Amino acid sequence: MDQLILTTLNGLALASILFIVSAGLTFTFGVMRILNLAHGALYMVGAYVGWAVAVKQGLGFGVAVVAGGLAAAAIGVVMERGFLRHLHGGLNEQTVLTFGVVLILTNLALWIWGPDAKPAFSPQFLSGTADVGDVSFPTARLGLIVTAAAIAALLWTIDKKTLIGARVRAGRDDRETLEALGVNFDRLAMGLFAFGALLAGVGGVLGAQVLGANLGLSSSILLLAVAVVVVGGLGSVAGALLGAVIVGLVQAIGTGYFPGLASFTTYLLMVLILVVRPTGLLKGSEV
Amino acid sequence: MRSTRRIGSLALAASVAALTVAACGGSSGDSGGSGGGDAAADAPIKIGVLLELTGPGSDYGTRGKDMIEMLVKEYGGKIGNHPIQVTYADTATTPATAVTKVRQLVQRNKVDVTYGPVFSDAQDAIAPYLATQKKLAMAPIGANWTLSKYKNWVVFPGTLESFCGPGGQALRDSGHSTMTTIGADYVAGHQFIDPIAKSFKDGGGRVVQQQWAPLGTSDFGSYISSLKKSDVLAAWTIMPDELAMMQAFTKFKSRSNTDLFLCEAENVTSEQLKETGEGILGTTGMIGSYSPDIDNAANTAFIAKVKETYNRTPVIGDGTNYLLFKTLLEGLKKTGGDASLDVLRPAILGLSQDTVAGPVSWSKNGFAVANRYLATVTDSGGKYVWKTDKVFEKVRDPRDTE
Repeated sequence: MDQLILTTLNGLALASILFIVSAGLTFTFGVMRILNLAHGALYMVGAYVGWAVAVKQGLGFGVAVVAGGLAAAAIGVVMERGFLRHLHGGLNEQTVLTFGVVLILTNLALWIWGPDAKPAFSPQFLSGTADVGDVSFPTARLGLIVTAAAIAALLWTIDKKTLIGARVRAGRDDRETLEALGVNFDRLAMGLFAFGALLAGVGGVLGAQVLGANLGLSSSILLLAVAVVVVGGLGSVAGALLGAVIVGLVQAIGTGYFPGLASFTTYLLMVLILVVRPTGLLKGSEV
Repeated sequence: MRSTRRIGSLALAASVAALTVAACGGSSGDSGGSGGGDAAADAPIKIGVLLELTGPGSDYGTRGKDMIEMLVKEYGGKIGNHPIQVTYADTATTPATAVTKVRQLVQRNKVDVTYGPVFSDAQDAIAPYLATQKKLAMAPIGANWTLSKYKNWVVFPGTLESFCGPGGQALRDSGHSTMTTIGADYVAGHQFIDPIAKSFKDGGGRVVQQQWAPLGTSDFGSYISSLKKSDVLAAWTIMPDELAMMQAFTKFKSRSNTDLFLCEAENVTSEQLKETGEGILGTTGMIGSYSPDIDNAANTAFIAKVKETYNRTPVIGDGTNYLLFKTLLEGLKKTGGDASLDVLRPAILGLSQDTVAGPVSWSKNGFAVANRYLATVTDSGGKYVWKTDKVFEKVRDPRDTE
């Protein structure tokens, strides 16, 4: 029973990271049709900036979250204004360009922070363990789960209850009509892309409580985020949340109970979803 | 709309997969030229360096490249009158790419000697081809015993099985009765973990559980929390996975009194130990190749040089590559620049050096005979270091008999 509780909590902690990252990815691809392979690299930048601010400079975890998010958002704005806005609809061009950004950001991180992986870090008040029933569990992971739930609620509120959310949903359905109504889609797209990048950066800092910061994150996180988007469905907060929880739990249960198959379970799930329900589990619910 | 989303999902997945494969292809860089060159007195010595410059092993590869460049400068760019011409190729940490790149180095760049790669699966993949070409090959940070049959390799610090084997008996001697293990789920994981488990069992201990984690595992929470109760957890994986494993161990440690023992402890830097937190103090491990915490004059000078050149403290990827590439250059000095296999390999195997990792000599099979250091993570004036408790001298693989 103890192991089941720990496995479930570990799965939810991973799901929390994946949700925050995937929410940004699902918006940029599901809404704007921009295939951003650099999304994992933006997560990595957030993690490194967070480490530099919280650990090297000692400025506190909250400041690190803000700095990591803003750094990724700034890169997102440069990417969108400088290149991607000229490539709407050009999937191949977006793929090549954003992959180039991955290489640039990874090498910049290598140059700035060196090749050594940075250990996980968390706020001082979350550095211990908490009793969950009969087992103890790192409080940083519990804090991560709570934070992700709060971000999910915030994103849902923005999406469903605000004018911006309404415009985003309208843009997702019919860009031409939205523009005919006087909405500047170009500006909306830039804001949305920057917001997606910000989520990746914030996810990088929050996720660093479990995963730390290292150069390999740009690809490993991207692959898991893609699995989440494929499983949950493109373009919705609910899809990202559902996909993240499923992928996180499958990964944790696979590791805890079938460790020999751990590297296989998540991608088997992704393949099955692609075959059985290619639009994801929440197909058509919001697009 | 359904079809758009379907295409979107498939395109996203396919693009990522395709680009991952493309990334593994890597690219090669040429720091020298090709040039004709034969037996002329001032002909260049062409060294083909095959390293993991990208992919999961890039930490080792990029450090190796730095050390080679530092050494070439240290030797003034030449051996006698022969300029040293180094051509780099990136394996992207995949054996298939290593095979392609080694053929390019030999056939297109006409290299005399090859150096690297670090990963044993890639070494095994290129070994048959290099044997047919009669080229000397150098293997940094260990290799499989299978390389011994080709008679053209020089390996530091020895087989992967020889890194951690003495640790099992040491753990028995320190009163541990039961062991669990976590190893990277590929051949090297077994080569590191199996010998320590065997020597632990040979000493009367009991291994109660063994887990194998895929390369790239970034969260070990589920592995650690599903471990059975034991006196010690013996672990080996590569960076950055190892750091994640250590962190998960210290976070979940309050559940048990299990000690942690790291094979190839030198993988973890002093800074990483410190940032892992107080829970890591008292962890023991086996230094199998190089660590900045090895205390000797050659290492002190080396650390100062790396700090001066690259503004960092050297770690395993630096020290092992420095040691082995320097061995190659010393061998070339001994032969007057003759890089032919029949001359250069015996010259290298005849060397006996005081190195950054302690005294090193070589077996006739081409494997180093070198020290292993049993060490404990200790707080040394606020800095966490691997403090040597015991030195196992002249360690070699049990199969490496002469």
